[in-house]
Amino acid sequence: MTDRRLWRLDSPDPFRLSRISDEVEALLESGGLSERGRFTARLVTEELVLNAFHHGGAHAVTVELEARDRLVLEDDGSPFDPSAAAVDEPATGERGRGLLLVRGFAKALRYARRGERNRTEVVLPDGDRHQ
Amino acid sequence: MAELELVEANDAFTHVALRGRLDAAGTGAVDLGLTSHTVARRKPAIVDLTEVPFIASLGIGMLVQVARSLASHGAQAVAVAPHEPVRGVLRLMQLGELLPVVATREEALRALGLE
Repeated sequence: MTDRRLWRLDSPDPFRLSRISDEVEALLESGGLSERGRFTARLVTEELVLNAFHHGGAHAVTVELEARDRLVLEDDGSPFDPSAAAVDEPATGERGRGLLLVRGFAKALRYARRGERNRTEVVLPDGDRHQ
Repeated sequence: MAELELVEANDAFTHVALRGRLDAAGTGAVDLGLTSHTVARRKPAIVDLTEVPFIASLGIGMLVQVARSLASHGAQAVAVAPHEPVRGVLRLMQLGELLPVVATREEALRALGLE
């Protein structure tokens, strides 16, 4: 896939977020990524974007489709590593359900703090089995 | 956009079906309706996710809240989720007895002790 796409959100507008996920999913489908990979892309976009705005105090978040199986999310919120943050038990607590899902579905997560920004690279699964 | 259908409401249980994606927008669209059709009746509830192709943490939170509220009134909730990857999301959440996950309405009725 040769498309390289970047979306920017300035608020946690759920309808715009849904539209962006639609566009990301369409590009991934045209690139031949599996259903599970596309589901993961939508999941990661939803969870990490909302997390950055609601918990990280971000004012802007970007979502970039960097390769056929790779998303990069960047935000200007407080430092936050989604691969390492503590979470509650999902049945009894409220903290971190989304992070558990991201960690459970992504093939790999790579976090870096670059200047005043969080950068999370997500490798999407390309099979239909749980990895 | 997600929608809710009240499939059946009788003296023994409530059966609601959700349709569409349970992302932030979809969850917001059905949250109030789901609560009013299930928690307010204080009956065991079947929440059918057969036609839900996507669910994220806000949707899970809504289901957990409904299940907890019903449990506080002595009523059980059961989710019907036959298809991956939504079934995999629920499995990953390990909700256990709070919200058992089954594949059919018949299994849900058995889980509720109604068959």
